[in-house]
Amino acid sequence: MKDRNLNFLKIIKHYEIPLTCLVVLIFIGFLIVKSLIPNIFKAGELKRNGEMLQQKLTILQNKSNVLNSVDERLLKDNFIKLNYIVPDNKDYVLLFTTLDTLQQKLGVSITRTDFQLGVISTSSALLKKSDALESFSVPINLEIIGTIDQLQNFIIELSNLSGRLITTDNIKIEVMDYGLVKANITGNTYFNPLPKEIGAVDSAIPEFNQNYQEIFKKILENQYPIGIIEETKQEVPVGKNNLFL
Amino acid sequence: MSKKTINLLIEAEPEPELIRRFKKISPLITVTVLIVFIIAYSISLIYVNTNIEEYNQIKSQVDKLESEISAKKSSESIYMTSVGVLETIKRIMSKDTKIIVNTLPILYKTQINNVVITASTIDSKGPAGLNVKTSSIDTLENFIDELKFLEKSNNFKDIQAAGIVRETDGSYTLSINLTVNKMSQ
Repeated sequence: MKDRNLNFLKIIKHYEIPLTCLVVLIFIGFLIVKSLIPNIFKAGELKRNGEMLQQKLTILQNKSNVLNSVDERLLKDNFIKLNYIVPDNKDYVLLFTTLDTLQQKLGVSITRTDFQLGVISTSSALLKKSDALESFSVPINLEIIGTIDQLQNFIIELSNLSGRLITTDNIKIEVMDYGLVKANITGNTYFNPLPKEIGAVDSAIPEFNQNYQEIFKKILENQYPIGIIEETKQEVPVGKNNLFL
Repeated sequence: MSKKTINLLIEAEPEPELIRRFKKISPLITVTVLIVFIIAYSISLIYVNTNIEEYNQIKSQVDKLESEISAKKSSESIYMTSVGVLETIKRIMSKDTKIIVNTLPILYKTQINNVVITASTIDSKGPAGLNVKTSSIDTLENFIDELKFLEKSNNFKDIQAAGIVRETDGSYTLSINLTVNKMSQ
């Protein structure tokens, strides 16, 4: 037994350097598993989270800059004007108001106005959603009588952001006596339901770019005074909201 | 009598070459691994500590901005709603070709004497049709020359006459189909 122990000690002494190295390497391995690898994972996670946070910060800074540059008062005061161009619902009363105002302003005579009754009658009626425009459209057909100049001005006024926006798809013109023409206009008017809620606090918002500024300026310049619109609107007889009650 | 010498020590067997090399290399390997570990661990520690500091700074900026933006909910609401309407208007306007409103003066204000456009149709995508009544064949020719001029000046293309009818009073009616050029608008 004593010989065996002596022999074992002798072997250990003989290989003491490699054995010490082995012990140190095992210890380093343990440290790698317990400290270095978790640290590397932590660093990776920190990098990813840092990048995400940086992106979020950029979005928030842009959003804050945009919101700081917004003239809230101007937008609030004039939102009603935007709503006249493309209202949040079908608002056929506003449509008639626009046509009546144009009639008075240009001297044309609108002899017939057709809408898809199902579209404008009740809120539960068929909605025609245009994929290309991603907004709701109401097909409209008008018959008007006037001179060529009046007709041209009428078409310009339909889409010059002075009232409810109406685009013209097709026109049929017949010449009548006394330099008058009868025009049958087919087109669309639009409405755009407003979002029920705004996005999360870190959601990106678009800048009030040149295009928006130009359209907004044009609306402020071209639109009839709100007083006139409201006055004309009151003159348009309004029926029941629900046709079946 | 000669002396005899006996070697009582057992002659040591030489170690195999592989073990001898291993004994030499193993400390080197261990020291190298230890140094690499210390360097890697130090770098990871420095990286984590530096980035945690930076991360916390960004986080505090984000929190500050979020609270600022939350306080401007009403501004954001009116802004987003207005921009939504403006975007819709922009898209609608960009689809409006203005072909109809630009074609009307070309057709009706460049009329030649004794030529009457009795009816016309114009589509916003370009196709148009005219019914023309002229008092004589000469004025009809003049009108056709005018149309050719308009085609050359890039206002119209694909001008086709559908048919000419001579009425009993000597007048002529002509149906014309053409396409209005979008480029000229």
